Amino acid sequence: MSFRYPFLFIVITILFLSIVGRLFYWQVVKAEMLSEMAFLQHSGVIRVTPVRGEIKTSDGFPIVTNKISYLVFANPREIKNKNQTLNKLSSVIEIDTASVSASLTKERLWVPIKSGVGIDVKKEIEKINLSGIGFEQHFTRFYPEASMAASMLGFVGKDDDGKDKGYFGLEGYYDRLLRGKDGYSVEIHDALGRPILSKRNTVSSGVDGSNIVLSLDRSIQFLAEEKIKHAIEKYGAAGGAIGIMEPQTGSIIAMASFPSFDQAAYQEYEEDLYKNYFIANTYEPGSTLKPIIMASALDSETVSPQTKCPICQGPVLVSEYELHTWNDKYYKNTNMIDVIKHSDNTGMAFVALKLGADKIIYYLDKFGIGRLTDIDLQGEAFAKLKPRNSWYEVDLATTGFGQGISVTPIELLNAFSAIANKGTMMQSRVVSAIESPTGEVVKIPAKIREKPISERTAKVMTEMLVNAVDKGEAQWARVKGYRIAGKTGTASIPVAGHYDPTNTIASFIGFAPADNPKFVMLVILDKPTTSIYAAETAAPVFFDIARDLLIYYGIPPSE
Amino acid sequence: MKKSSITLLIFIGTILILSVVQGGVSNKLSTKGILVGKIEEEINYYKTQNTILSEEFLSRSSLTNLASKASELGFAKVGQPFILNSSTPLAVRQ
Repeated sequence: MSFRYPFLFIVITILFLSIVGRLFYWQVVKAEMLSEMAFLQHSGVIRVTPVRGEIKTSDGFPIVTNKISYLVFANPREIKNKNQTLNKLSSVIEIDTASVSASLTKERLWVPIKSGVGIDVKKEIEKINLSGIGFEQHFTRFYPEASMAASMLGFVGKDDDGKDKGYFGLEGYYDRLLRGKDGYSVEIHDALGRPILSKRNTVSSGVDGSNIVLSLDRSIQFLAEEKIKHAIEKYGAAGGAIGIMEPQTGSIIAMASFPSFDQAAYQEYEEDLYKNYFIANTYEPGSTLKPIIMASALDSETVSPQTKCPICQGPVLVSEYELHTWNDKYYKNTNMIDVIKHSDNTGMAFVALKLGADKIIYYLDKFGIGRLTDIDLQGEAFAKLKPRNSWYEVDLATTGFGQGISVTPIELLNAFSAIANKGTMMQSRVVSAIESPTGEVVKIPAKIREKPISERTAKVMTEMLVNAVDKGEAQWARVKGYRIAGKTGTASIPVAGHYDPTNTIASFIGFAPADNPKFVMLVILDKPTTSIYAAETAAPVFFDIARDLLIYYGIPPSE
Repeated sequence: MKKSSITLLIFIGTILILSVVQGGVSNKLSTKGILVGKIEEEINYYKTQNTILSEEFLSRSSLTNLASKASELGFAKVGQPFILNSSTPLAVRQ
């Protein structure tokens, strides 16, 4: 009897201590590992994909938005008859049955079959009632205006991790803003896998992408695209582009180029078409550069409108090269007003030679030629100006009439807008405001980029350009009753060390109304075949669009 | 009964009651997961419907669609618009 109590006491104490020891081992020594094991057993980390921001035109219409699409997937373990399932599925969606069949092995739980499936197709598949076939909801880009402004908007593809990524144009430039930020949340399940309300924690909250609002006018963009398509057909051109800008703000109102591509099916097009002709293509501008050179000469007081050209009576010989006018007509002692009116190459060679290399380089740089315009679009290119020591006399003379120098259309449009905007060149831009996911709108103010010429010079140059429209080669196409300033450009195309004798780039640049411009526009036709001259191809397209724009803006005739 | 014993009993009682309440509430909440799941499903359904309707609306109101519909219905662009200007009336000029 006497030893029973101590014995029992010792046994109970040992049991108690072993329980305490075991608890200590679980709760202190192995606590971290066991917590992790438990966490993995009853919870799951969910990636919360942000919704990509919309791109809206100036009227608030989402030209790029998101639509619901589905990824069709299979769980091979739940499929009863593999061949029958795939045959039925292939009657609704286009799939490579052989390769899908090979991937449906019992070891796999989830096999993707086809992505980007629409809601109607999903409903059709659901009707067939196939076991082991499921759907995963995704958002894909949707373009209500189809391929409108495709090269300006860019497209959304995938990055190396399979996540959405914007390429080219606005999608590329504003990718981080549009994309938003991924979020992660942890969901705790009960024994049956049902979510428990009180145990859902957000590890990191995601942010949906911001919307961007463009200065692009949808109606004008539509008009520009219709007109350029029609012009390419009418004049048998290889391509064409139109850019329309508001000179007072540098805002792009429309930007169209053809041939183009369909953003929704970008994979089906050649990569070259992804590039925006207006910002990525350099070309020799020809006579459309003359107003820039002439404005530089006027601003530096190298010439005045009444200055007579002493070398314009015939072809000009510069360093063994003979320079001709475009129509081989020569005007003795012609003044600067008529040099612009007749688009006289010899007159412009005289101006450029008188201006000299230093001043030409200085002014071209001030006009932004040879530099990026820094427009908010991905894929902008530029051609640097030659270094000062590489400027020979003949380079100087040909630059006077826009040959031997390369620019992008946006560079030229931006430079020309300075003449329209009293000598001040604004920063060109496409986005005018940003809308945060919470609805906060941040407007992007217009920014002055440079002031290459004085207001007085801009005014004189404008009058010379109005005169060129009213009395120049393209006067037949002008819009009667309106004062429009503009200049044709028939540029030769350099090919392998010489100029293509049969093809040209025909363009017209101008603004209207001349005294208080509402828009500045550049029309380019690449290799027109019905006529090589801009006065017969690009100019009528320019005036046709200008007429519609003046009516659209409700501007009455002034004359 | 001593005062300290009563206080101890009250503490123990409170702890027991709170434990029972906590157990009950946790139990209730855990079963609400099913309801939450259903609510989330419903929210997703309406979100999906909204997106589908918005897609339909945007497609129909696009200029591309309107222009093609207008063309089908026989609408044509006015060639030369008539503009009223402020020229002097004929009677005044004479």
